[in-house]
Amino acid sequence: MLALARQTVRSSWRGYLGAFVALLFGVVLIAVTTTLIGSVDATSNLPGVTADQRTQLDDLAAMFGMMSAVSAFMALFVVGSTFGFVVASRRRELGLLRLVGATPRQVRRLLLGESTVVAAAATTVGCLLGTMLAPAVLDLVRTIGITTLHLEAPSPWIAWVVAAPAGAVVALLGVWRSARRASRITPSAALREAAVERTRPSIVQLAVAIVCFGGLVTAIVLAADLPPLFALVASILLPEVVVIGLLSIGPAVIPRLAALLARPFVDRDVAARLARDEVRGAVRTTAAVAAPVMAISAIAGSLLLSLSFTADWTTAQDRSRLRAPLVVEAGSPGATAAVAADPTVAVADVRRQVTLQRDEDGRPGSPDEVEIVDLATASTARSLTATRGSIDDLRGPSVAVTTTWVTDAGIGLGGTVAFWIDGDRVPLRVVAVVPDAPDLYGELLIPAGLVPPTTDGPVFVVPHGDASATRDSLRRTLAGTDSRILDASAWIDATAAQTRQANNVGFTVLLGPAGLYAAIAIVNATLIGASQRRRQRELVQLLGASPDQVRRAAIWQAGLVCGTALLLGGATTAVLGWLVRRAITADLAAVPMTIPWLPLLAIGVVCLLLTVSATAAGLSSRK
Amino acid sequence: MNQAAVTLDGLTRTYRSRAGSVHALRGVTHVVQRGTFTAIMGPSGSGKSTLLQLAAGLDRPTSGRVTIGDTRLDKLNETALTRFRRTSMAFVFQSYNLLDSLTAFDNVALPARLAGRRADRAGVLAALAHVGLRDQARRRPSELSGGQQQRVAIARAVYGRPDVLFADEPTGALDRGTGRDVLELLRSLTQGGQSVVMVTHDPLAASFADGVLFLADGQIVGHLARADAGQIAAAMNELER
Repeated sequence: MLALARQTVRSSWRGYLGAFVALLFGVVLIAVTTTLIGSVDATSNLPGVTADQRTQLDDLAAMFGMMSAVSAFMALFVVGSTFGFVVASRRRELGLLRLVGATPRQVRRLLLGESTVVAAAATTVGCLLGTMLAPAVLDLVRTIGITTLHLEAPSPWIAWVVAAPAGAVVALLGVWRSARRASRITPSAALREAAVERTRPSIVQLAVAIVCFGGLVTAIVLAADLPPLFALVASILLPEVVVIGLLSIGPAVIPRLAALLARPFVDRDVAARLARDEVRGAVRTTAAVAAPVMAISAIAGSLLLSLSFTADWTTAQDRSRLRAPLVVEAGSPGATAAVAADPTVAVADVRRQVTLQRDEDGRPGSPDEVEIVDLATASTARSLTATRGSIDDLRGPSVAVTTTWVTDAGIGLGGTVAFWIDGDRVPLRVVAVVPDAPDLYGELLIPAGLVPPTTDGPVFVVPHGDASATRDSLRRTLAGTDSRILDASAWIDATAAQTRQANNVGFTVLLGPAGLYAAIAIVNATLIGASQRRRQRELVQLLGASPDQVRRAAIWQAGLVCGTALLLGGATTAVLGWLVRRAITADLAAVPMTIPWLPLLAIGVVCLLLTVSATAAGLSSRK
Repeated sequence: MNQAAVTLDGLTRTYRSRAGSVHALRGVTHVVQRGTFTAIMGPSGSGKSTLLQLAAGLDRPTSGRVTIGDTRLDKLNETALTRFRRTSMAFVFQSYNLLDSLTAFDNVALPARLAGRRADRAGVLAALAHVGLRDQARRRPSELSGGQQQRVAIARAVYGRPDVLFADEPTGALDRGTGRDVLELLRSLTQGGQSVVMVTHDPLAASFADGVLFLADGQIVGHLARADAGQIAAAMNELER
């Protein structure tokens, strides 16, 4: 069967080009990600890397891991849908094979053999390309400011060992369903010009859809009880679940929705009518072109919206807690002391942090940022109060923790957290749970005196009288120290802007490769779809359609399919955005809402442009 | 030895759709003898192609049964049916049904290879020579004319020496001269004891057969033995009136 597979791949390489490109890109991506994770690991083991830098590297590795998971998801279903296309376009040929005596198993093996040929080629080229690209990507990571460290490239075989089998597994999983479907093609398929495409989902597909949407409904029901950060994590994972659900019933839903979208136009333009009928008839093509658009718009949209809402939430937390009207960002070590000594200043509450190692099985483990608070000043300037327990008990070997930390770590009021301080294991009792305010204090707060602070942050200043008089006085006191004196509100705005900028970097890293993948997939699916419609197009032309009408119909079709996919992706984004918003407002009432319209619209416009231009390219290349 | 090559026993086939049920066949009973050439004729929608597909086991009847030689097709599952089809039946259709990726030689050898046998080179070339395409063995379908492609399909059918060859409008897309060659080829098979069942709407093509079966509204409505094209055309006209 492998010899036959080689021959069929050689002759129908156009169909496989898409699968090859999709897989090649997947393998390159996995190879590059592995290199990145490997280099983070290699770098963090170098001597001279501080605990802070190690934390930064750990975060980086986690981010890369998440990126590769999202990318692998995209890879899997793009390869799957491309192979699905190949099978759908070869119904007659496969039916013929059955007619001349191939058993269903032989047809399945043929398809698996073909995918092996394509996977072998794509994996080899992909691994080589990944190795060549790795140094450039490591440079890029530094250039866009994800890390300040120089990342050491690990040995290339690590990437190969991971990427090559991953590519093979993705190809096999991707083709599995198509191969099963192909093996069910009857010999009489060889006798039909075109099969009526099945729109009704199978029992399995229906079950998958029910499970996926069940998960979404559960999340919606629980929305108000979810901690905001959990809602954020859910908004990263749930779009994938929703997309799988939508895709499994895609052929039943997407063409109908697209036809509905076309309704206002069909009476005005015959090209729109042609496009509507084609979208409804060729359900598989419609679903396959819609899939990558829907996936990327749902995943990227939800993440954008959730990150923005989470930033809104932190800002609102900051605003509701910060009582000090002035914030000083001290420019020199002496400046902090000078602020406290200023006669117009009633309270100078300094944000102080230290990195401590958590106890892990009796040994110093992962480092944690711990906030050192002076109760007297912090409760005035940062309204530090407990929601459970009593903040006044924060004396001696004790710790206060935030609500999110409690959910995250599973240790609540009365529990114990042990740290290593000066070579000793020191157990601290959780005496209070405080609300989250990430820019005002960290997740773990200990009283002053347990450990000397290592870093001084901003100083929250409460004046004796008028804030403007204090500002003037401080300006004089701090002249020449390179310090900044800000109104509380301006400081919060600046902090929020920083958070959003960091979010953008994170977003780019998380979804950049997946976005590129989706772009390739969109172009790929559109081009294959266009080549499959060639006969239909020629027939329409034969019946008297002008070249302009044919072109317009194709562009209408692209627009309708892409529009439908964006609508579904948008709906997913809206639902998940609402989920995060609900979790946030349950926690805090007056949270402003920032919807990142520009990036959201940009996603839609880019998808639409890609689909339409790929359609135009498909038309012009086959004139 | 059983002299019946194909036995059709009370075959019915009903297609259900939202618009209602369509009765494509309504109780067809007939026996095709070994070593004979049978043509099936009838107006459009009379059930000719459905009958051929049921007889070849490409579709399952709603009721009734098909027996090829001594084997009842309803007793076989999909894989067993495929294996049986491999050894006992062959097909020639209007659209030539060759795999575009394979050469003429490989197309002819394919059924044997699918059955896990080595294709014997001399046998494949002999089959191609039998249809006059010995020199075109290395060409792909796209490099052959319509008539040549149809002859490759016949060579593929001949090579396996099946008991029954089913043909659906095999000359439909060919010019008169090429069509005649194809029909002569089909006829020559019966001399070796093989049976040919052919669906056609062309009285001239049907005149090559030993017997013509007329179908209308899913039922057999007439039979002619050793008739010429004129007699067949007259019978068809009567049916279509």
